[in-house]
Amino acid sequence: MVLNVILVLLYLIVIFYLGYKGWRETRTASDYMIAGREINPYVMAMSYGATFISTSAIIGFGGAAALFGFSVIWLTFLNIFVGIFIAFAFFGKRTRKIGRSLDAHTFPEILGIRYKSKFIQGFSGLVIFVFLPVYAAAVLIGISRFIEVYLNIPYWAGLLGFSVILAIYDFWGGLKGVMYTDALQGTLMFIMMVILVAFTYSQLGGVFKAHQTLTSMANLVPAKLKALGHMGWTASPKSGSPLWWIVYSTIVYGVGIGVLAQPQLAVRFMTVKNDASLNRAVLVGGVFILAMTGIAFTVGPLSNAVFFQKFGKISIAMAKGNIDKIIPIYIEKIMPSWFATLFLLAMLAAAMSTLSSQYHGGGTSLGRDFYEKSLGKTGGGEIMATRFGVGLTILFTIGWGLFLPPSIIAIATAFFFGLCSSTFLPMYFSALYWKRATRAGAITSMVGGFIASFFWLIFIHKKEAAAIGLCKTLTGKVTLLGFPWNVVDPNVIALPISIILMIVVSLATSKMDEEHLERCFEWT
Amino acid sequence: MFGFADSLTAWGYILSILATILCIIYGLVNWNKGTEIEEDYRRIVEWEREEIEVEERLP
Repeated sequence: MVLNVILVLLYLIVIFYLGYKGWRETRTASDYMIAGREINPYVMAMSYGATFISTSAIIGFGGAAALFGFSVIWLTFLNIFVGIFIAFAFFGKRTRKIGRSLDAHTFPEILGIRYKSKFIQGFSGLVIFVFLPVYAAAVLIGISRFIEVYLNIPYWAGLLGFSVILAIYDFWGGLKGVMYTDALQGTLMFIMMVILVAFTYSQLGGVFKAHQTLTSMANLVPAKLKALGHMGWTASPKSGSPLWWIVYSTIVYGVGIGVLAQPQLAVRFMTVKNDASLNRAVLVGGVFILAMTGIAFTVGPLSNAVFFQKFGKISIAMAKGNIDKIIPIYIEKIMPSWFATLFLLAMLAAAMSTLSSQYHGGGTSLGRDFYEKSLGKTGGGEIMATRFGVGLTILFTIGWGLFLPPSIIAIATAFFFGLCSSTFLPMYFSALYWKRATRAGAITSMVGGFIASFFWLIFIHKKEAAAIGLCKTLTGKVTLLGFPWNVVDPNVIALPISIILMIVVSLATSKMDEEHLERCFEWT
Repeated sequence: MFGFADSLTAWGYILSILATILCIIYGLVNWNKGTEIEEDYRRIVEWEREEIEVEERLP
């Protein structure tokens, strides 16, 4: 125990040092080279990967996979094919070129300048500032659950302790030097995940045997889950059942597509020097994501078989009903103790870098996008607004982390990804590829997608509608529509609405002026 | 298939690996494509300057 604490502290000192050093070196290097940061594709891909995949993906979604089974692996396919291949090879290249030709520095800014709309930049900035903390909280909860299980301290103490350390790290320069430490921690995570899957398969006698063992355990699925459509951990949920909708509409589709419109990921494309860096990053990113979510969604379901062999219980029983604790308990009870310590360090670093990027994004959204560009205020206030924004993002994240119920990581992440895709994706894609897209089309798509998403969440989607209670107060019914609509993810409805609005309104309004379009697409 | 209870799940597993192979091949084939920078040098310098300014505002 004492040795573990010392190791953790030593590790934190190294990370602090690297964060500070990285920030200083990045600055001088940029000033010196000016032609563009020489960001190595390995560092770029690792940094993107480490921002994309964090404790929420490994601990939260790994836990969800332990409950729902291997069908969640479809999200890994989308993470790699959409989140890396399509994101880098198509969205990334255009974002980099258009972002630079328009002198844009944030995700809302590229949209705002492309559509010549301060409203778009301000609205996007506010949406990100207000809702990003929910996703950041998913990451914070992930690491806090791990600390709770591993160091055996109360959840709230782990959460607050970690937040204090992170705040010091960020104010020490960590927010600025994020990319530098990402490659280190990404590499550490990669190694730990490979060991994790190799160990798990070997415990169960090899790949096929492990799958077969889990297949033979289908009779152990709890009755409550069976009633929802669970058919065993190596089978897809029953077609059209509530569980089928949760797995495929919320987890696989919502998160798998939503990654394309993630503000904190899109800005990464603008910092690379040329297309070759993005091409090379596809290779590194693909392998990295397979090792992250692919392994988390494999070890998650298999944890049922390992736990059953050793303790006679399935994973959710071991975690006493809290999905978010399954992976931490698996690491603690099944893996060797040296592994658990190193895994904790990898998770700490992952959470620190992802949260730093999120805090950075929240602060800049409020300071630059909303206050400075949308309201048009300058004269020093924007610096204060950015710092104030970072502070508020940290506070809201901690607040959500303490307030949200157990088993929430995957749901909170899916909420933010879904909201981003229905609000931003059609407008973002059109900004990059469709010259006929207009400002009116973009605004209606953005606002329409946002409203549709929230309407569905508050009035139709049972889980949130019941918790919020507004629908019941206004109409006397928990949800306006019954099954299957009340289990269909908001994104299934809101994204098509947003796409249709983008196309129809753009075609009904006059094209943006040629001169502006030429400037936007000058380098594409 | 592969010890899974149904083929849909097995395909998710296989496609994840195939998608990774696609990424590896794409990366290798295009390794040196797009090394030239066609953008205007001066404007990139401006972009870099402003990017540093944005970062400087953070705490």
